[in-house]
Amino acid sequence: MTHPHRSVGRRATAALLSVTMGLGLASCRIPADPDGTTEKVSGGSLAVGALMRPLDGADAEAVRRIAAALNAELRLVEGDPHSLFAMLERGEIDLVAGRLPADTPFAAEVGLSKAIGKLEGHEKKKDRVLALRRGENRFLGRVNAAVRGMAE
Amino acid sequence: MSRALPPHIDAQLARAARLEGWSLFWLVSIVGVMFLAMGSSQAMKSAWIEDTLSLLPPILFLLARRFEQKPPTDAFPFGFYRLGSLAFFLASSALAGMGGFLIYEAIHTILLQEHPTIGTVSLLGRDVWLGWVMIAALVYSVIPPVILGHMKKPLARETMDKVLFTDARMNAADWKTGLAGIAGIVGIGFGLWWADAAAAGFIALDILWDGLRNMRISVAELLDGAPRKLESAEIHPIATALSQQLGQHFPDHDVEVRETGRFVRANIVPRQGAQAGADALRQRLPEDQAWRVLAIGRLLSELPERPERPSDPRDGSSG
Repeated sequence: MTHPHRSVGRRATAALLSVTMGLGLASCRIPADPDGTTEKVSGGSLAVGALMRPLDGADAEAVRRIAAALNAELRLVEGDPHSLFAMLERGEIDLVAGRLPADTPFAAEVGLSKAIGKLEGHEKKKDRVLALRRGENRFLGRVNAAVRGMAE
Repeated sequence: MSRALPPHIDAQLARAARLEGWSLFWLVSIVGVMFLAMGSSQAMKSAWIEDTLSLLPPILFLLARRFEQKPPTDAFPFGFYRLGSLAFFLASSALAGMGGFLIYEAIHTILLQEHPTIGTVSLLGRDVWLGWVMIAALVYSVIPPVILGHMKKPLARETMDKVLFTDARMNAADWKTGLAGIAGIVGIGFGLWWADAAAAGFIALDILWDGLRNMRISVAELLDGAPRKLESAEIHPIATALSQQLGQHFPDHDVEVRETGRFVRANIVPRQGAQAGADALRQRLPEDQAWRVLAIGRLLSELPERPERPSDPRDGSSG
């Protein structure tokens, strides 16, 4: 007779293992973007909301790299921070850049990239990041891969 | 009045205490791993909070075991048998409250359509989606509790320990939390932003349910209810058996059975009303306080002989 507890445990472990393995196989398509940003941008245009004109060193380099990685044409959009972040939330632009600190008050409404460098001046030592639309996780992965090594 | 436990029960409790020590060790490691992997996933946060709250029952068990055998004091003349139940009630309330809060949060997230953002980490020179790290953490988080839960359950049954039993049951069911959390992360992976909040809600519902059930169990004891079964709110057969046995020794009496911690106590009260005997004493007490004396009990050192016709207590001829 099988021990009921042990067989439950074994079944749970087996379920976990098969789920994990199945996902491993599907991992090249995971994570996806709920709103398909990566697909939309790839081979098309990357719309970047610029908090300042012109974008300075690290920001300009980062958006150039991302556009190149996705084979997209770079399109800069100007505006005040609030309208740029509102556009980002609605998906009208794909990124917001321009001396954005990692602890930006907009962090609750957007996703943030990895550090693309440090900020200078009075905000010294803070990580500089890019903002992107919340939950577009595949796009976030592509952005992070493109800016890799910039913070070192 | 020392109440030495039978040696085999004592041995089981010692074993349970060792298992609870291991539970604490593994849970602390799980809480740490989960915290590091948590990111912005709500399902992970719910699972993390559940894991953190599941530290309480082992701590309460260990404390209660230490205190229940403490001799009574002037301030606590009945001893500390119910300390565990009181602590258990407080912990259950915390569980229920947290479950309710997490359900609210999950619904809030779904209504506001907040999409969870999960980034990447660099592991061994490669960019890895944090979701995979979270899934690994969740898998790790269910293995020790499920094993320990199944080991603790039989000990809880033998020692009639409610805290231990609840703890064992929650541990053993922990794989559901893990699976729900993984489903949430996988959902995010496939671009289903709501899956995370839905999984978080499911986990929260489980926390709330555990809390409410535990509150019900502990309230029964704190209100001097009849002894309950471990698994449910049903009355334990020992209550009926004691009532029947004692009823045969004391016709014309009611038998009141209650439990304090793992122990059972029975009171025999005259059927006419327990207050009757206290009248003489009441006259000797300060007038404004006398009404508070409800009953006077005495512990029997041995059972009296059964009366001749125990089966029919309504028969007036028995003396």
